[in-house]
Amino acid sequence: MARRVTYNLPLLLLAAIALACLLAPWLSPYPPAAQQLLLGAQPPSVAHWLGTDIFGRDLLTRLLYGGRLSLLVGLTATAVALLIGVSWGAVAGYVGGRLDAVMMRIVDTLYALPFVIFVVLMMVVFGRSLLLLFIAIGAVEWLTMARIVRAQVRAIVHSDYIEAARCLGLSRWQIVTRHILPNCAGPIIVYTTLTIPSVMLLEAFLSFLGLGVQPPDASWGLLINQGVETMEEYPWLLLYPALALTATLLCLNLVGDRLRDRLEGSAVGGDR
Amino acid sequence: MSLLAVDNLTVRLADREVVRGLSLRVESGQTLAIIGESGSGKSVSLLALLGLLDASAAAVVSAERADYNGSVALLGQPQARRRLLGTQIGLVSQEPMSALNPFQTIGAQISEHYRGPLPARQRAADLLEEVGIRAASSRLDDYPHQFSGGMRQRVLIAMALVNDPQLLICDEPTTALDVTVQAQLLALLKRLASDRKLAVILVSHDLAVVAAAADHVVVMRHGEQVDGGPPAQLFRQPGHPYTAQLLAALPQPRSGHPPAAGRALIAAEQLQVMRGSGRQRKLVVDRASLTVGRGEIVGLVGESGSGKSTLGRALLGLLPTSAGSLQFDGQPLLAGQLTGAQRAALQLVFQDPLASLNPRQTVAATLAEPIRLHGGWRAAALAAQVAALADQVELPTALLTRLPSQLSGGQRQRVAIGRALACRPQFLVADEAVSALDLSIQAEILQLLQRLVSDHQLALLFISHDLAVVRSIADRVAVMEAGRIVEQNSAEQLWQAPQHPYTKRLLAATLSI
Repeated sequence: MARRVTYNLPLLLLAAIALACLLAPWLSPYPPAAQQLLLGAQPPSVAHWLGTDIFGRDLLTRLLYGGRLSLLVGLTATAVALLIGVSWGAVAGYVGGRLDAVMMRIVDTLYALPFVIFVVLMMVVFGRSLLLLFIAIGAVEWLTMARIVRAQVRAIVHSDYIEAARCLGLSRWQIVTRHILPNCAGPIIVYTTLTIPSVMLLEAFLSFLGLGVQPPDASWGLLINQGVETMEEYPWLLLYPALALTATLLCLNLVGDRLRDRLEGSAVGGDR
Repeated sequence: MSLLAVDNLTVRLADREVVRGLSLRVESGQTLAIIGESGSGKSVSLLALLGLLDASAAAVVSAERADYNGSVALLGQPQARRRLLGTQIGLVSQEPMSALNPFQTIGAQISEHYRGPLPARQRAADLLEEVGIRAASSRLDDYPHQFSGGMRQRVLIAMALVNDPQLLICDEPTTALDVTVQAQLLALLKRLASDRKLAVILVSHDLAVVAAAADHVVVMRHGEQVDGGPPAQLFRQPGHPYTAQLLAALPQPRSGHPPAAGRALIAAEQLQVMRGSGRQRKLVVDRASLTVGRGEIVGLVGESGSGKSTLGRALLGLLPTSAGSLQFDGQPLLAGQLTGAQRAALQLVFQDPLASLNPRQTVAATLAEPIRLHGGWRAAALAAQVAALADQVELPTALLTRLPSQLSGGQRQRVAIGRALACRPQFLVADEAVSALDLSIQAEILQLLQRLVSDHQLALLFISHDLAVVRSIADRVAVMEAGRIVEQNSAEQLWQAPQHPYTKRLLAATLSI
């Protein structure tokens, strides 16, 4: 029983964090943006569990609200990356030949574009919005996913069971969705769990440049950046946002590892 | 005194006893063969003695006695044992391609651990000469991929001999090789044993190889020695029922008359198949003509690279042909333009049953896929069909929920055959379908194939490099060499009076007990 709990700890912790962020308006008695300039920055106390920031706002409240945004960006942008990357990589890998070469050169070209300039350009052309932020990040993160999926598919496409499926008369769509993608699931899942953290970090970076989330809205990345500015006077303003982000990322990676082990173990386990 | 004396060896891997009470004696100049089916503990026992088991396997090895040359206790002195490896004891592994480093010249690899006085290149060249590689000194700077399978195996043997060992351990040294090459290699091992007074331990699952090469045989089963003795005596009068069972499972020449072949179901006329692209494009099948009728089993034999697999796939419409005509049931068959009915009627069974099954699909899902696709069955009716199919290939229903990795080799091949049958095919190509299986399992699968052919009036093209197996199942046999079918005849005729020199060579190289 105890082992079971330890085994599932990352997942439980992740669920707890997500739930707390989701229920922030009901959990916290403070409004997230209302300033109390007279109060100023206070260290953690009974009234403010994690202290307050320089504008007298409750840090825990801002963390919970910020988490909603960070998690939302992380999940949405990753979903975008997953969708584009997997379909792009699967098509290139399965069809092969000239189409594969063209598709992968496009990926290479996009890799070569500096990310920040790309995002700035998008912001300038389309104006600043949260939706655009998701798209911009997703549009960058799918490149690596496409490469990983393509490599996996190339390795599997010549295996006997794919030839067998072709011989049975399955359509290309059926072969890719039923036989190829399930067998690339391991690397895809692991890379996905790695993408969510890197997306959240990207968002923090963009917010820092003033291209992402705008105050008084908060995200973990933004809170960390603000915390860095006042690190010497008010260390808790850096410590707790950083802890929240680190804990979430660690849990995500651990869950991804577990998931991969379970998937690969079931298919390759046993002797041959 | 014995060079290697082992008494009562026991190996435990993760709380499972994989070898129990094994005793071995190896004399200089003699060849000891250990035979057994996969999982019988024949390789594990040797690796355990030499300390070469994976550290992660957490093996517990014990023996009353394990002496090398009367001086080194193999299990008690790990340092001394390690010094023996590569100097006194040489190892030759089964798969010569993966045992050689693809980025190093073979000259460098052979002399890498040479400890003697001669110049390294000189030594490597001498050894290559000794193992029968012509123009040895000019080949020292070649890389492994520039050698054929048999030549690579010779390089490995040269590598094992570099420090003049007294004991040579060969783990399935000829399994991956063609029959003619296999015969040459066994002759080489025999010559080395007598020239160098070398003790050889030969691990094999192939009774014919053992009979040809060994002075003494140990038969292992489930980690225990069940039988032993000189091969001539052992195979004439088996001391244990298991040995008798192994002998009985050897493929026997088929008796009785071949059925009168009716109208050809599949007919290839002067078929040509190219493979590769650009400058590497080459003719793999050259003007091959072949027919297979309903209820007929046609064997296709040839060495690796002769184009037999390519021809098989071309007959199924899986590969485009560049010339010639191909007809199925009177209708022309064009790769890429098969009708659904044609696709279903032409099926393939692969060599490696594990590789040919989707590792993430259960047996039931694997069998259900083609039934749903071609029969349009759903839900309960589908499950009933799957059960019926499993019954047809004699697969217990309890296995339906398992994944391929949880099945034995024979069970996997039954699933693969079942999947091919699910489409209700008329023409089946079995590409080396029993080559990866143990002897007794092989016999079962061959029986199954024969029964299915007669039950469903299937046309079966049975591709194999193993002539004994082909003789045991085929009505008619085609011999392929370098892309061409050089001879075609009824099985009986072919064995009694081979016409083509290549066929004669193949038959002469085939070992039998």
